[in-house]
Amino acid sequence: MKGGLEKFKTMFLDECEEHVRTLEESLTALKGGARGQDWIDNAFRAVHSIKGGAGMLGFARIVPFAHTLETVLDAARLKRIPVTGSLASAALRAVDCLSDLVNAAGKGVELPAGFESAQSAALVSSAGIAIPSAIAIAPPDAAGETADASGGNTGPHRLFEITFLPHVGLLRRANDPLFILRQLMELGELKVETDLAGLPPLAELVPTDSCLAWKLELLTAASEKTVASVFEFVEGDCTLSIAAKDILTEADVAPAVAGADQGNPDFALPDTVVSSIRVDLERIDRLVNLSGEIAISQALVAQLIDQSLFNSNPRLFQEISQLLTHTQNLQDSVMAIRAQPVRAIFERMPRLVRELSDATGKSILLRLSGEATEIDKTVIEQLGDPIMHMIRNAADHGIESRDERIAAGKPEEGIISLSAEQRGSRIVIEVGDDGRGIDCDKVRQRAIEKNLISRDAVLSSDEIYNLIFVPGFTTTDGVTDISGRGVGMDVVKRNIQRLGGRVGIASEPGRGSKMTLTLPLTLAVLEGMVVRSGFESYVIPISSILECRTSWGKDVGTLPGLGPVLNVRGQHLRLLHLSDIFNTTGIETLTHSVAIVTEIENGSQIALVVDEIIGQQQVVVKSLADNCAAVTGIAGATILGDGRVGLILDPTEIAGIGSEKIVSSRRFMAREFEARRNVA
Amino acid sequence: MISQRRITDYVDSTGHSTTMDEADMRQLVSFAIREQNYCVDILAVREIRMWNGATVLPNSPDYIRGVFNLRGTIVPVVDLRMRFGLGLTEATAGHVVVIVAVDAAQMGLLVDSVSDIITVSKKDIADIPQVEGEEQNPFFLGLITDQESLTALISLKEILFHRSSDFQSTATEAA
Repeated sequence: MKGGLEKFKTMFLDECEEHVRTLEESLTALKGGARGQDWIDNAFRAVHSIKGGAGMLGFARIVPFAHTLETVLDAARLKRIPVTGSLASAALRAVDCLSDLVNAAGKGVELPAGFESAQSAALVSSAGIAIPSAIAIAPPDAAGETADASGGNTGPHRLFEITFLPHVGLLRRANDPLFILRQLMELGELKVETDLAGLPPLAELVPTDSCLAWKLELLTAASEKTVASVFEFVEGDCTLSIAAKDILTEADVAPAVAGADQGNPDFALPDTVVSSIRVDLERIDRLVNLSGEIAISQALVAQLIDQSLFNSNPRLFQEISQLLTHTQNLQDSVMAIRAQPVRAIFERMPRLVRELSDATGKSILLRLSGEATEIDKTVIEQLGDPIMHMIRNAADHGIESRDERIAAGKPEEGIISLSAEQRGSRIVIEVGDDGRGIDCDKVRQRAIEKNLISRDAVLSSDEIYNLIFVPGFTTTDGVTDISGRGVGMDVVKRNIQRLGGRVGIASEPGRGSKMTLTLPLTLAVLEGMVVRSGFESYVIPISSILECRTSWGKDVGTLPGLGPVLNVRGQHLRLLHLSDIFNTTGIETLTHSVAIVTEIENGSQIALVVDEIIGQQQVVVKSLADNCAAVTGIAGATILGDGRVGLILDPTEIAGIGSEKIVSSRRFMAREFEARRNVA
Repeated sequence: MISQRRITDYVDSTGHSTTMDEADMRQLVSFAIREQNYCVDILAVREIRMWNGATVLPNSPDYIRGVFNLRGTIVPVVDLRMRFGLGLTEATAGHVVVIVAVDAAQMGLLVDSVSDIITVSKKDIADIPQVEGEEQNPFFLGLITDQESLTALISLKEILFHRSSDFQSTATEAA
């Protein structure tokens, strides 16, 4: 029994999450000026469902608060009070509070007394109506309380005539009519008349069949909805009619819950029906893996079909081509299973901005777009924190104070925009603000103070912006609650890079700044550049490649303490030979080899020398660590088109190995210079 | 397995306990490196493949010949000869990789050839003779002596995880 209740609680909490989402969505729309009746109806229904569920499960703390919110929304719904922006904001804050209450209830945490009273009061005052204190729904395990609550109700009493005709199977679904009758008794004065007509002789009686029927008369102050809700669990298992006599001008009278086959109006709405199923993540991963295998086989087959096959057996050629197309579609579909809309993260942000706006005293509007953009589930899970960091930064550093904005001739309300869109095989997420922009001089000054750059360093504005991502950097003078500890942006950059993504930053003084996250669609498949060094093929993630240079011999120099460097348009990058790093016998020569400029995690660049570029390819990432010890410089492995294992390189780690090997690398270069001199 | 089944059947028909000998019997897969036979428990062996090259794993111990693709799983290959300090195997298509499972991990053992499946009772497995003043060779769990040959039982865990690689095999001297 306990387990059953726990299950209901979990279901309730899941539902609450959905309802809170609906509430936020509709109230935000209302706040933004939308005045459709649908929005307010949806919001009302959502909070009503939360209240109902909470009451049923005995979450006494949630019910009164939800009731207040429900009453306000109801009044707005019936146009008794006007829907204004300030009312919507107050309601939104109340929803935040409600969601806290729900979470606390879910975790079994008792929030301090009066936690919700401030919000409740603010809501009531902005609505300008009186809230009757009735708790409409009776928690079954808190009968005493309910009796008190309805006892204290001064509303008009009404007489309900109820016909309750259980179907034969009602008892088998673990329902007991006696409980229902008792619950009705708690609502008010109950007169019960039992209809024994259906009762068979004892010999024919099936004890698990329900054969009685009841005619009830209930005198109560409770609303019709409350009375109907007592029958919620037996709905569909009985024929029921509830008729209210002596109806007063009660506005929210729902049509009588007239019978067995009428669905619960709260859930019958088409937009609340989610046509999805829950599937074990493990099964999906197996599917993803399998489709990866198919991708490899597909690449193998694709190599085998050629013109000669077309000439000898055109039919087979055609069928195989067809098959390859289908498998490609299959793969895309499988990957799409793991994909989820970024909405899951985005919808957490309005609340964050509201809180930030309260904490900073700035008026901030959050504009969301592209919430439906889909990314791999794993990526989504790790995106929440970076986006939160960026929004915090925008609110704290970007948006100016009210006075400052007015002085600059800007609208009082600052705007933070958060958008997502798909560009090719990548997802681009942008966080922008219309604030003061990044002050290059200030950043530069701070970087010098913190010994991050030397006093006389010449930096482009892009390079200055990138200083923001250096660990320990902050321009705010004081540490605030929100940001300023300097542990934000470097973490953002690291997290994003770990996901195979990149962070960009752009800014215009006085006009605002914009951060751009570019992420791969999925972690399971990586866009890679296949290269050859010696006898082995390696994969370099495209996300880290900036450019490839073929004739670079003349641009090589040596810097003391850094070893060989490659001059790329005036910038000197460390030159690392892959064969040298990996101690494999390379046959790199100056004429054939390619230098690949890659970006590493701290934002600097290195040039990797390989023998040959084989091509760009999507590869399925496999873990090496399952069976082998981790190898420095190797991020993972994949199966290449020929069925062999290709190692995926980690440029950042390779740069690390490179530092240890400067000495040997220098020796290598000396040899190369020697070789060149001989050629010359 | 067949021989075990027979023992069980026989014991059954005579009405004795079925667990008597079964627990004491072990089946081992034996393979050769040079002239010497080694063996591992048959339950650890997943499959046996011909050598088909491997992708070199950079900066790894010299006895790791690389990794290869076993139906989508990346599996490392240990050159057993190198692991025992007997030099690098000149691997050809005639060489054999025995794929074994150690706990959750898989690895391939590069050997010259697979010899046989032998069934021995636990008491037939002798301890490794301790040489005075020398550290015990960690790679071997025991020795199985037949009329004409000597087979060394390998500890797979040590092959995969033991860090020092320069053990000169005592088994070669015994052979």
